[in-house]
Amino acid sequence: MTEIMTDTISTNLQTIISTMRLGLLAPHLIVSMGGILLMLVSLLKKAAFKINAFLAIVVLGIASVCALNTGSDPQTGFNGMIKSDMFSNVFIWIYCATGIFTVLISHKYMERRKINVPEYYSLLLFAVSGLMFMTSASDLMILFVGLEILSVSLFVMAGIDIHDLRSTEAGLKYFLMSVFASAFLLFGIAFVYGATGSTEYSAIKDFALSNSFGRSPYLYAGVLLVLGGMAFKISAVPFHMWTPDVYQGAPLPVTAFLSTAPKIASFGFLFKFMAQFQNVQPYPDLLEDIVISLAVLSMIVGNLLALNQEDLKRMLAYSSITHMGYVMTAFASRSDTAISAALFYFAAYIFMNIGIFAVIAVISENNDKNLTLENFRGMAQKKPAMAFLFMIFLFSLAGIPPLIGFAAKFFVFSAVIQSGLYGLAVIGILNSAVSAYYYLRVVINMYLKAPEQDSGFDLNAIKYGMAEMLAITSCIAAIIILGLQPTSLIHFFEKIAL
Amino acid sequence: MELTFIKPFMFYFFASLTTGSALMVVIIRNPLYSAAMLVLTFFSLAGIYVLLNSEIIAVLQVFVYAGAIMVLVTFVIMLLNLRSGALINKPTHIIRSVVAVIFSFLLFICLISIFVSGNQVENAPKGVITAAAIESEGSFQLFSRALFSEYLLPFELVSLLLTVAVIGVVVLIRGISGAEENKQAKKGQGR
Repeated sequence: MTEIMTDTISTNLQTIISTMRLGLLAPHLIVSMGGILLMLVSLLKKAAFKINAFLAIVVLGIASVCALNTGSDPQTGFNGMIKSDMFSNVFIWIYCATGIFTVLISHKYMERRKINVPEYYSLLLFAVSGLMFMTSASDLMILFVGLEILSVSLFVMAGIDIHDLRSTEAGLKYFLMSVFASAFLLFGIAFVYGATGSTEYSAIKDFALSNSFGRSPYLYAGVLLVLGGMAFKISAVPFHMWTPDVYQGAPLPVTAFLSTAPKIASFGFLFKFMAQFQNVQPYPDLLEDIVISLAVLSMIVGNLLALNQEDLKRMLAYSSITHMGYVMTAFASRSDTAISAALFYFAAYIFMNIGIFAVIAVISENNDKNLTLENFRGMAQKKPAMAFLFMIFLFSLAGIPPLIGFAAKFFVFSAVIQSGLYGLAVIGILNSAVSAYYYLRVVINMYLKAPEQDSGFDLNAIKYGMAEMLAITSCIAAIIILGLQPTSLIHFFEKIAL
Repeated sequence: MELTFIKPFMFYFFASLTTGSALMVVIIRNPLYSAAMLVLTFFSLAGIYVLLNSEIIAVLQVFVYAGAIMVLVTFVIMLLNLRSGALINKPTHIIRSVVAVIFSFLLFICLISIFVSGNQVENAPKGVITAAAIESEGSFQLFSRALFSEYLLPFELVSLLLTVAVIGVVVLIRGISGAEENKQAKKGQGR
């Protein structure tokens, strides 16, 4: 009896191990183990913050190289819990790049503010591994746990400046809103599970194809709730309330990370999840309408709120809502070209957003909490080089050719037009014209206005470190080179099928 | 089983106990008694799980909810020193209560309509683990096997999540205590 038992157990073990395929998880495991390693290094006394910054970059670099190794053919592992393909690899590269840039702009800033907690980098790595799990998942359970790993790290990172009340507020606010969003998401996953009997994407797809999506109210409700929970993370209107306060309060490098990677990961998941319902006939109208209205609302409301913002970080928060609205239009059009356009937009968005936050981190020597647009008056006279770099980032965000922002918007809107959503494309183009107003306002303040004498903000005091300059220059180079030559990158993304 | 005829009675007993005690949680004014009622709710829910042949869920329900979480809730209530009705006596806005009533009613209608519309419940997919399988192999064995084979990755990831949470708490608490030490050191220098 016991022999039979051990036999079945060992065969079970063999099948478990043979279906695991740990190799597919190499980047995820390297990054999360790197997080634990950094935690141990933190025990070293003084130099830990510096060593950790270096190690974090190394770990992220190794992880992105490992993603090359898994190959481009779609492979599943862990009983279909993980699906590794070119799509998830691209996201892994995006996260690693964001992580490396965040480390580069964090170091000097955190030391200046005396919040050089060495565990900060450990949390950053954990956040990156959570992101990777989110987009590599092919099961809603993995998605949820990955999302929670990401969120828990981000709460702490946003509130890491204990001495500053606003940072604590940002951490707490992000915590409360995230928990709320997670409840939505979890409720939705429960509904989907109740309807289909599985949390695995392919099983959900089979159910939706055989039973016609619209006739199963459970599945319908579940998918809508999942969409709502993700809209919180993306901060699409009407789920955007937390964005400006969190962006303003959190330390700048954290804001840079927060405004890019988690949103991109949420979109990555949505693209992957909703692709399962691509061939459902008839496609549920309500779902399409909701996505379109999320896109339209995000673009319009984000823009309107950004128009008369005097605080720079709040303005960027609202503008990020608008940018995610543009991506949402691509999401609404449900075509392969739209997916490649969205991937291009993500790449562009990272270079623009990380770059602009890097510039702000450099400029705001000591009072970034109240960085108003007025503070930039006459910056071109005092710091011409910095003002010029800042201007390029703003132009790119506004979508002025030949920078990458223009190419990204061009690809997204042409994909939207190809899918026949002309109205949505027109709204998007009009909005991107409106958004130029508030970006150019900063440029006008820098170049055309005389510097204020008693602003209490000394532009001459700006000093920058090597790491920050490395981040800024590489972002600038990417913006200009990819803006002039976008075809190779978009061709690369076009080859990626879901 | 010769006792099957009792099952419906047991179900109605536990179901009415669950709803009744859940209602009492909302109605009772003393938060501590509310918490006690919530414990009763969890216990009667555990009874329903036992009737559904899933003993392990019942045990976990009692351990985790009635045992761990409710102790935490009671602890917080006592720590805040909430007196009877302390939370309720605040005047609530009339619009707020109207909106609350409307939304709860809508949710109620939605849930009812899902159950009423067609034969959703009969057509719903059934799990792979049947009552017969549980009978022959045991609820705990099946649960453990699923947890450590099919759901191994989520299980391990949850441990990573807990690690991250612990690190986060330590980072934040150390920041606070470090700041207080600095303050005290400065005070000491001032004197």
